[in-house]
Amino acid sequence: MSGDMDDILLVFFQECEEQLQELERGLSALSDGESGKETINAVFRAVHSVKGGAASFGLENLVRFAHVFESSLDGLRSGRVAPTPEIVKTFLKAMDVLSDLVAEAQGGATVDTGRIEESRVELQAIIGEGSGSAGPKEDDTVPADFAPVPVDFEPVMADFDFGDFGVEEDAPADAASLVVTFSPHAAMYDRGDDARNLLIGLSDVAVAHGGTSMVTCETAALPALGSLETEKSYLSWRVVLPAAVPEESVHTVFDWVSDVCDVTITRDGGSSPGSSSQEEPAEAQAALAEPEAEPEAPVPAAVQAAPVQAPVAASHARTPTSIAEKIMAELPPAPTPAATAPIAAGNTATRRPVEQATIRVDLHRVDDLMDLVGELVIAQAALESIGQREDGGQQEMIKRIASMKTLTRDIQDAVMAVRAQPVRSVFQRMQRVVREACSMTNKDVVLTLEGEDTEVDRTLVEKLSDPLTHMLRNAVDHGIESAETRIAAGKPPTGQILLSAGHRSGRILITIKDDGGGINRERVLATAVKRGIIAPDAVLTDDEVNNLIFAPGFSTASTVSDLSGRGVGMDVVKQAILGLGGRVTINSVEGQGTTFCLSLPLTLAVLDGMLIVAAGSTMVVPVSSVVETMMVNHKDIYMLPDGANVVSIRGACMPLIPLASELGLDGYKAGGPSEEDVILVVENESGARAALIVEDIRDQAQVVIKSIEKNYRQMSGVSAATILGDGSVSLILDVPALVANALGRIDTRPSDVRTGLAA
Amino acid sequence: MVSVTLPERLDSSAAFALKSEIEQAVKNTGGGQVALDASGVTYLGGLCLQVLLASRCPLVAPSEPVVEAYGLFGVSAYLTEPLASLKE
Repeated sequence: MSGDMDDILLVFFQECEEQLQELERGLSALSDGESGKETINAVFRAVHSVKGGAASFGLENLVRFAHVFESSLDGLRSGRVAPTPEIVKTFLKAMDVLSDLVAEAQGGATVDTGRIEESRVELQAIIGEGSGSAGPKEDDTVPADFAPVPVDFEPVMADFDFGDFGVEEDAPADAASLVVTFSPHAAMYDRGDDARNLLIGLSDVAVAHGGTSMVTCETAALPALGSLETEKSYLSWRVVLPAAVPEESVHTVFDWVSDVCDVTITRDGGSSPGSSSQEEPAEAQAALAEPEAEPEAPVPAAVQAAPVQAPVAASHARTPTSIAEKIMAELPPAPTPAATAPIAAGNTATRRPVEQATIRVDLHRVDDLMDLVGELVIAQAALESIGQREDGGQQEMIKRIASMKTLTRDIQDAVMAVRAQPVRSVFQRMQRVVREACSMTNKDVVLTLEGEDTEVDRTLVEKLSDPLTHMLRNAVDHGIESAETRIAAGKPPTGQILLSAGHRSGRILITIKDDGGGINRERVLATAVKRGIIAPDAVLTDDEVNNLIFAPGFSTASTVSDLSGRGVGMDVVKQAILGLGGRVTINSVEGQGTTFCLSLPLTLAVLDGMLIVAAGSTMVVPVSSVVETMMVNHKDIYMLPDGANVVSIRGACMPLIPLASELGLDGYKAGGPSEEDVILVVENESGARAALIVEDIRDQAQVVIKSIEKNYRQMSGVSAATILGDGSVSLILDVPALVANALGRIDTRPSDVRTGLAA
Repeated sequence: MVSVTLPERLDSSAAFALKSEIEQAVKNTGGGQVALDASGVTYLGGLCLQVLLASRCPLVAPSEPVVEAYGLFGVSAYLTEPLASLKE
């Protein structure tokens, strides 16, 4: 495949991604009861675009499924079907299949044919196509290009029927001419297309194969002029094409109208061979009875069965009312293994760079950046000219440097904005996670999203996906109770999970809140003791018990389920969040639910820091965690019986931590804080506060974060390092860890009730 | 016999106007025969074809494009002989 093609494919997949998001958004809106025309159209368009694009790349499986999906959606669009919750659920499920098929086309895992089938049958049921007449065409053709999965043939085989309209008959009925009948829907004209174009297309096809098309027009349905609605379509056509015309080329003609035009394609006389592919369930059973012929040679099996069934099937074919039949008929013929092979090979070969190496950025953001760079060039020229001046221009220089500083910050913000992405993409993926978890656990849970527009650095967006998936699965599996339990507890049977994102003091705060049973602390404690995570006689606070679920190897699930319970999940979550410079806190009320809070830095590159001095060395405290600063007043400091100090600030007591001694630095003078020292009141995400004593505050500046883990190793109390303006290396303090250490507790408890309430 | 001159372009958007015009003409003649002058038509689409066929009015001097279109649509027979009236 050429490089150009790869690029186009890449764009297609990006667009698919967008369309799928659009689809997700629309379907969520639908499930919220917002069934406006615009919403339905948006959903329809999304599926249609995916289908259209996939068709141009010959991604057969995708096209076929998208097509069925689209047809069902059309039922919704035309008002034939009302968007009941069940139907929306079916659509959501179909969307999952669709996105898996997109992933498959991208070189991802092969989608289980059984799943596709199941969803297809459900979709067809929506538009009134019972599974009995639905035609999972794939059943007899797809196995050729899918890895044969015998299981898939069992239940679904029973309901395949007409299938391919003569695809199988191609070989035996070589000399038969091809008969195409089609009747356009009004929607086709709405779209600006015309039956004329189809007829022209067909006649071109005929001419290309050295023949002519014979067109007959069926006018029986045409009413008198008075009762004729001009925008409706009454005519249908029957076109006989020369035998040499392959069906593929006919399909191509109908490619773009397949959803708004009923088409049947048959060989020869039109009734027997073509429709003979309409197999009865019984016949399918018969086919099933020859399992050895099935996986490797489904086509002969079908052909074989066809003649026997012909009379019966023909009567069915006489009533071409089944939408599904028509749909299936319009579909491009099943790919032969040979035809798909290059595509499949292309899939694996070209889809390597799946890790989206590109991002889409609003143009104005790039423009903003460009403007600022322009400014920078001007500022640089100004500085140069000052440097060349005889008198040195000290004042001027300082002024220019100050403006340059502002400029640098603006540029930095602009670059950040370019890299920023709304968390929507990740959040919407979570809908699916919850849906799947629900169907596995047979629970009914609604996931509500809030703040999807919150923007964070794209590196973070990507890395959020795994931890969130784990946590949501956990919430569904362990958090939300079964419907019976919920009803018994006086709750609505449908569980609620809220996933929200928002900015909070320079960080992004993501909360996952369920209204389930909360953490059963006794059970957690008992399990932890049993697994040897804590000593049997340990006395733990509620908070500490909650945090035990993050301990490696912890699992309260009595049996390991598909979903969770292997005891790796939450530990991994915590590590992942810590790795991102974030923190997880738990808040659980028994019987009312659990709230997980993830607090993450907005970016992994730069932070606003306060430069402080402890034991003679300069260190950086993230400004976001500093609540206030004040001078030491000895009157406010009290000593506790255990020797620790607390400071009372406006009536609130908090532990006093001499930073230098906390970090184990030598320079800390004995004898407690001096009058010159400064108190920084710092706070962690859950609102627990402590007072850090430092010697001095030097400056406030933006510092570039350099990972200390990568270059050295992890150090408790230190989150990263940075290089200061004078070239010296300085440590960035991990305030929450310091607070937690000082409090001698695991993490996050509000230091007193009042801050707890305020938080 | 009253004659209605058909517009140049009979595409989907022209269908409604075409129908109104023919209906009006039929009304004006009091149910008499109306002939459709198709000499100036350069394009004929599916929806207008329906209107023309449904009107059951004979075409007068069909232009080359109209003859072609009728051929394409497989309705050449109705060029000379309009659709039989509905037995209603």
